[in-house]
Amino acid sequence: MRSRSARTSVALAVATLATAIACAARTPHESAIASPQASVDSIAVQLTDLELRRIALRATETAQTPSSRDVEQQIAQLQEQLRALPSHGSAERTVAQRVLAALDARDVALTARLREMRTMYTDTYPVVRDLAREEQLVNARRTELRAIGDGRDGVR
Amino acid sequence: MGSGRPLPGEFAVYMADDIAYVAGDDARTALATQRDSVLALLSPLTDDVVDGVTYAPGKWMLKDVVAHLADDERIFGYRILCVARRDTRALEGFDERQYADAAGATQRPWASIVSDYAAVRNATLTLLDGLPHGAWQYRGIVNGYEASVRGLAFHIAAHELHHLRAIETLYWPRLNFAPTLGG
Repeated sequence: MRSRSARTSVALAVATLATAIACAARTPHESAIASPQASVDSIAVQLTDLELRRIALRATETAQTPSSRDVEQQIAQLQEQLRALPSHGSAERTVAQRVLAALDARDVALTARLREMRTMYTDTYPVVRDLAREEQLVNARRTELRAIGDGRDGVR
Repeated sequence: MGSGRPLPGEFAVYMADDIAYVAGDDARTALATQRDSVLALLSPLTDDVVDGVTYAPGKWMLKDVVAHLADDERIFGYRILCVARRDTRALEGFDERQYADAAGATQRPWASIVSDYAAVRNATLTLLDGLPHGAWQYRGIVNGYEASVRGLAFHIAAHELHHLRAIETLYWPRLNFAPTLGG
């Protein structure tokens, strides 16, 4: 006999699959028109995660890898969806602000971790070096996104 | 006044990379900072959480590693004492695997291993606190290489960082944490 949680899981999986099929059948433009706010929220969540992953990968890798190329590709696809939205200018600024907030939080965490690590390790220690590099990349990206917030550029 | 960082020729060549990772230019500060971090990390653990924890077959258990830190530091503390007291006799090496095998750390309570580590570190610190002026740079022959007092003290710090990295990356994910309620 199946438990209630098992039946719920199956029902959820079917619903998710149905949503995925419906979304896959739409072009980015059609998806955006269907529910612009939902699209902005969804894109913001995904882009925030990908931006943080891209920075973490760049901090530790000396050359592009399949992982970093995959992240770049996903970011480009989401940016295309963002540009397809009816009010893409304000949508881009909204997404940029969400990403910026996540980068601010990451910067706080990195600063604390680096302060702790530097009480024991020199900057030549690989983990400290990677964290310091990540902190630099976070700050550089924050500067870029603030420029977007000022209306000087779009999400790249 | 601090010890200053040891220069090449004041410690074993094989420790050069690890010593380069030790922060700061004072051995005493480095050792005191490490003690606080290590105790903050290890003191909250219990036998239930650490018993049987290793990261691969044939590797030391976590208890062996922490007991090894104390054993190694006892020997290096003795070496510091000899060199600082101008003992010119060459000091012998030791086989860390034999010491770990004979230590029987896995049969000891975790709290006793951790308090032993703290006691040894505190003894090293008081030894360093009492060094006469200029003693940081005294030199002697240890396990076939030349070493200074500060080189030996940085060796202790570097050796501990080496094992701390392994504890955090290899052992920590394998701790026997108690299952959460309903888990």
